[in-house]
Amino acid sequence: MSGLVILATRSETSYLLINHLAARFDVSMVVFERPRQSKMLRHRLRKLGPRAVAAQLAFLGYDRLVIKPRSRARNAALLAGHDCRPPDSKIDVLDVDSVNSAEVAEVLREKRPGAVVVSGTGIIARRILACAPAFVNIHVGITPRYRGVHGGFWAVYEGRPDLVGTTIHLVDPGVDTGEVLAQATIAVDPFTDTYRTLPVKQYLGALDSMARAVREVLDGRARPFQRTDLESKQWYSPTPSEYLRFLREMRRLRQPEQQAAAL
Amino acid sequence: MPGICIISIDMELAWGTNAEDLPALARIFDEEPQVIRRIIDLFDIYRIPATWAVVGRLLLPNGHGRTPERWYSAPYLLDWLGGARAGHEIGTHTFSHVYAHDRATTREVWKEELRAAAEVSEQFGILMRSIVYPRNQIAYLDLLPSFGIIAYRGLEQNWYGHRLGALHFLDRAAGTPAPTYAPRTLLAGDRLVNLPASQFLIGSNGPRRLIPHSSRIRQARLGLDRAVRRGEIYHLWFHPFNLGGDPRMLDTFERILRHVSLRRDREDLAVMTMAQAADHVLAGAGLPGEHQ
Repeated sequence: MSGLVILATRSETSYLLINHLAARFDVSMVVFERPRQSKMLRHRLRKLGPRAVAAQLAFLGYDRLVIKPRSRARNAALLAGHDCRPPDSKIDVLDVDSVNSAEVAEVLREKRPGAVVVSGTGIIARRILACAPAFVNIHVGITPRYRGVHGGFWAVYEGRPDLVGTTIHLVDPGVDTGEVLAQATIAVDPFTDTYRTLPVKQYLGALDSMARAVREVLDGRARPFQRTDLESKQWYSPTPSEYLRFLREMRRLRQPEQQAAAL
Repeated sequence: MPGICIISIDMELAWGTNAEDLPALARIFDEEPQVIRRIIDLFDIYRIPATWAVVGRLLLPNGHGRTPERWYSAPYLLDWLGGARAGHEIGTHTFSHVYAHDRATTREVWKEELRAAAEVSEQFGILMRSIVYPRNQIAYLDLLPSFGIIAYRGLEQNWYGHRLGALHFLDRAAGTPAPTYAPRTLLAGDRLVNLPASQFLIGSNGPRRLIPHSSRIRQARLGLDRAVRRGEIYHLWFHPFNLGGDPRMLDTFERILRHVSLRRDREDLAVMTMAQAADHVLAGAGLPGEHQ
């Protein structure tokens, strides 16, 4: 009962986390969920309306064409020295369409993990949550203020660079609403950080907290808590105008008197 | 490798202005020494060295038959630049601001111009290693190395193809990122380096008043960001009189300098004179793989 199962989506940062945990724990299986953008799109259309979704798509296009290529070198420098290779050759890997499928429930019943680590998957159903004693999620954002996606981006957007960080929390059926095990903040560098580098830094800054939290959960020493000093809010992809405000905030942080506040 | 920032200044007072335009610019020329003084002070505050491409005749004490003399002679420049803490380079802008594309400027004339400029430099103990072509009319490149010149400022390589006019104006008003250049692409000969302009700090007179000051700063900031990101060269240039006439221009210039110094202090950016940048490029070319 001390093994781990990891539920993740395929990405460099997930590989980073998996390799980090595999070096410290007995990871009995990794389940990769295939990305389901069309489902997310439908969900957002229903919840936010077509105009907001169109603006978000415009931003995503800009991200692909401009931000991502411009951040590549910086991200490579950040990840240098870390193991970001896919774990397929070392650990049992299963690719599924949804973490809520019967296949996953089967895996969990069979492997009987002490804890399940979650990174980047969709909402996990109650029936899956019932299959293991604890689900631990790594979330790039300080909850409950920055639930949803791009927590670092939105913290800068709101002028709170001190709240750029990562939350390790227990999973409940809501979106990043579970009880907090650990939180780690990172320093924003307004000269080199972009929409794309912040999540990488957030992951890197939380790897050790994650390992510690998982150890505590496995040992039954975890002391989960809820933060009441922050207002709860869920965030989605930015729109172009929101991105402009983010850039303005980053420029403001470049001023020498602001830099002390960010660190 | 960090990015490189070069600032070059075309120091010509009225030598580059046609006679018919002089009356309209009289006030600006009268004020120019004060503007120059202020620019040198700003460079000192931010400890940023620049390349001052000076018309040779400016350094000679008196009259060349042209009046008023204060528009055509400025020997005080040597004291000012020599006394600055920033460590400026004095380059040449030819001896008498001749246009290389002018039909009257034959190879012989150009050679004489360079020789005369070299003589002035020698007289004042200046090492003449960089040149800025008057009106950016570039020619006779093969003659430069024999006068010890290793760097010249080439044309801006921007998206609208170095034309003045509507597109240029629009580009400045929009504040698009200034182009930057990879050092290894800039060799123009065995001992010669082209350091193309990235941004002309456009003045604020006449219709140019319509260009927002924030656009100039934005263009510089985005250019510098790009230079740092790619390890390339950003090259800003202007005439001192471009910063005259509108007091906000010096403010704009100071904000650009502040940005340069911020990034320099983070060691993202190396601020160099044209000669230093040329040395850097030549050294990099001589030792492939060692300047990574």
